[in-house]
Amino acid sequence: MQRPLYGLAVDLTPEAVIGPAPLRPAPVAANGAPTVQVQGAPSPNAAPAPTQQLQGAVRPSSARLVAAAVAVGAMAWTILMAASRSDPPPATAAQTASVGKAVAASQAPIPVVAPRVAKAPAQASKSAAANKASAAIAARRPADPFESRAEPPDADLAATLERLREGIK
Amino acid sequence: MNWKALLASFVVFVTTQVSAAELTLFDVELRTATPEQLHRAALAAGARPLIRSGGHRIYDVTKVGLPGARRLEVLFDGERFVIAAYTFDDDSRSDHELRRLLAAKYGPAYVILKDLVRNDGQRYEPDLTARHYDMGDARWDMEPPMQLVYTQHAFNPTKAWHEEVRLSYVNPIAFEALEKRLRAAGQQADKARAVQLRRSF
Repeated sequence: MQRPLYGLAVDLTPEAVIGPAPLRPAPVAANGAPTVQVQGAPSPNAAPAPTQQLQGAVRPSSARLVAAAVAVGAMAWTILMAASRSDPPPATAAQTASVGKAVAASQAPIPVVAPRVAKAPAQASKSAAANKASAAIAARRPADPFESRAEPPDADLAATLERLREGIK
Repeated sequence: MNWKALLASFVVFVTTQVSAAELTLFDVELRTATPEQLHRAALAAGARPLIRSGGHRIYDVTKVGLPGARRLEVLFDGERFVIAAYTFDDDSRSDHELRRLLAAKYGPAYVILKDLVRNDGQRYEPDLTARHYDMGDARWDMEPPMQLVYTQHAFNPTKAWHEEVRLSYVNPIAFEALEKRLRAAGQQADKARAVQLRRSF
């Protein structure tokens, strides 16, 4: 539609003002037959035009639904876990008796059994031979003067005197 | 003779009499005591024997009643008394009480000044009854050769300050004779051992 505006011919059609319309799938009638539609004049039984949306995006209503489902699931999971962790029901008399027996058995003195260390005959003879060998080596070795006379005689008495000297010097 | 000379003679007489007193422990005269005499007297006084090695005995004397007393060491050289030494706790109150008791029983003590420049060998009479005392080793000369020595500075590496309070009853002549004999025996043993190990060093 063109109207004169201050003497100028201005195109006021939607295509001229907004731009070309997006591509739309051809509307389909209820019986599946494609309907003939004149651009700019939608038929009354045609489906409403779908809104333009990005691929993969979720509608706000769907997001709320998913969040609510997750929350309900989390609550259910929490309740289940709490129920599984709660105290067991009070024990019956039979159960109490069996527990008492178990405690008494655990507190009873454990019989001490001397460990049996059985030496194999070959091993015993080997250790005896080693002892004999070491004794023979010790007998051949001369007496160690550092072991026998590491300090002069009366060393303890000398140390005692030295300590007591501190009180009378 | 004027009155000053008379007073001086009296002081000398009194001093001589005080210094000539016998040194005793548990009512036993230490100058002539035998090991068994002193041991029995110590037990009777409440001492508890801890260690014995030859003529050296150590007692626990916490029940004897002497303020702060912890241990008593007694050393005899054969049958001859050498030294008996009390050791005390690190408690200033009991130490003050002990010093007051010493002054009350034995009278004034003397300290040998050890200033190498001016006062070497000079004697000084300290006030043992002062609450805080730090005047060196206080001595009392008893019936010769016995001496009583109080010190706050006896070396002991196991103590916090490496020092402890001691009260020693000593026969200095016997002590020095034993020291000399032990030193000579040690030197002789060292010589024999040096000969034995002459190829090693």
